[in-house]
Amino acid sequence: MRELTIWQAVAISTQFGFLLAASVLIGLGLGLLVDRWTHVGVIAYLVGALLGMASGVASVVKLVNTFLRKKPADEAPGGEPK
Amino acid sequence: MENFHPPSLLADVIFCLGGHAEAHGEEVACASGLPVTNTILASWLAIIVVIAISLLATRRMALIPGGLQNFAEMAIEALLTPCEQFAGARGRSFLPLVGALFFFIMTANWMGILPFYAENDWLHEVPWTASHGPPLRSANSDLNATAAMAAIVFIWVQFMMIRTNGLFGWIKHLTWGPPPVLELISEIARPVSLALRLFGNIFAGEVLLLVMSSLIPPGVPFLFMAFELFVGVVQALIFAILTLAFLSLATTAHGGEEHGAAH
Repeated sequence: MRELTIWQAVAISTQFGFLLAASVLIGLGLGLLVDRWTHVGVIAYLVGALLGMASGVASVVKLVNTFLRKKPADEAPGGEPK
Repeated sequence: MENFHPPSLLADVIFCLGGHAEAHGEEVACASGLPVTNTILASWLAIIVVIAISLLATRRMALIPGGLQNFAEMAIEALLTPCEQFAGARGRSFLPLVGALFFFIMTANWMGILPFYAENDWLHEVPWTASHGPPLRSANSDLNATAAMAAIVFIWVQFMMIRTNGLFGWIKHLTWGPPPVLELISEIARPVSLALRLFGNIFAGEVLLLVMSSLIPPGVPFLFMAFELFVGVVQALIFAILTLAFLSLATTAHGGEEHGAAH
């Protein structure tokens, strides 16, 4: 695992709030579209919001893992870390 | 919910908070029927400045660099290092997009504190600016500009993902994660958050300068201007680093292993 530089830490910390909010809003938007199409009512919004929240958390975890992952050059040709 | 229009609502909230400020630029001219706003003019100016500095830096290239060439090489190497840290040898192929975005955003942000870029009392004495508003406005304080850059990043990331995983793999990745649609939301949320973060920070800086210049004595706003210079370069760096992270994610094949082919 690699240590974060200060700018990478700043990038993650300023981005994850927006990422979570944007994911929930997009989930709600998808719920709205599904509701208009199927007329299932509030269930579509709820499922959309839940999916958005889950997606937001998954996005943040994935973003942090991208920064913490070892760079390809640090790995031996067989894929094992040096 | 049928009357829910997020862009106008956002613009209204920002208008209430920021007084004269709006989330989009004001129309200052018309070219072939298309409106040209003050933020578009500011973007063009920033592009001209970046191109001019690039041409000046590469006009007389020498093996032992000096002056502007030395400075440009230092800046490029400072960007190349994180690119290679993220993606190894492939990182060099990300540099043109990441570097262009970084230099454009930084230049546009720094130019935003120049005169003619913001509301000033003396602008109201000039007849044209009194009726049209400031002729220029920081490019990144327009949500359309930041959204356009985020859209470019989004399209490029999707292209790299298709190139790495193939068309079928890309569709499967977007629609068939456990649970389905999770990745689709995630992919759309990334450019949205990129655009909103940059716009929010630069727009807040504009409003801060506007409020401070009317509240406190002359001279003190220079402190805030210096702070805005710092914010300008930090925001450009963050946009570049996040673009790099998204590109790096896009070129990672399903299963976690890096895509081996050098592009």
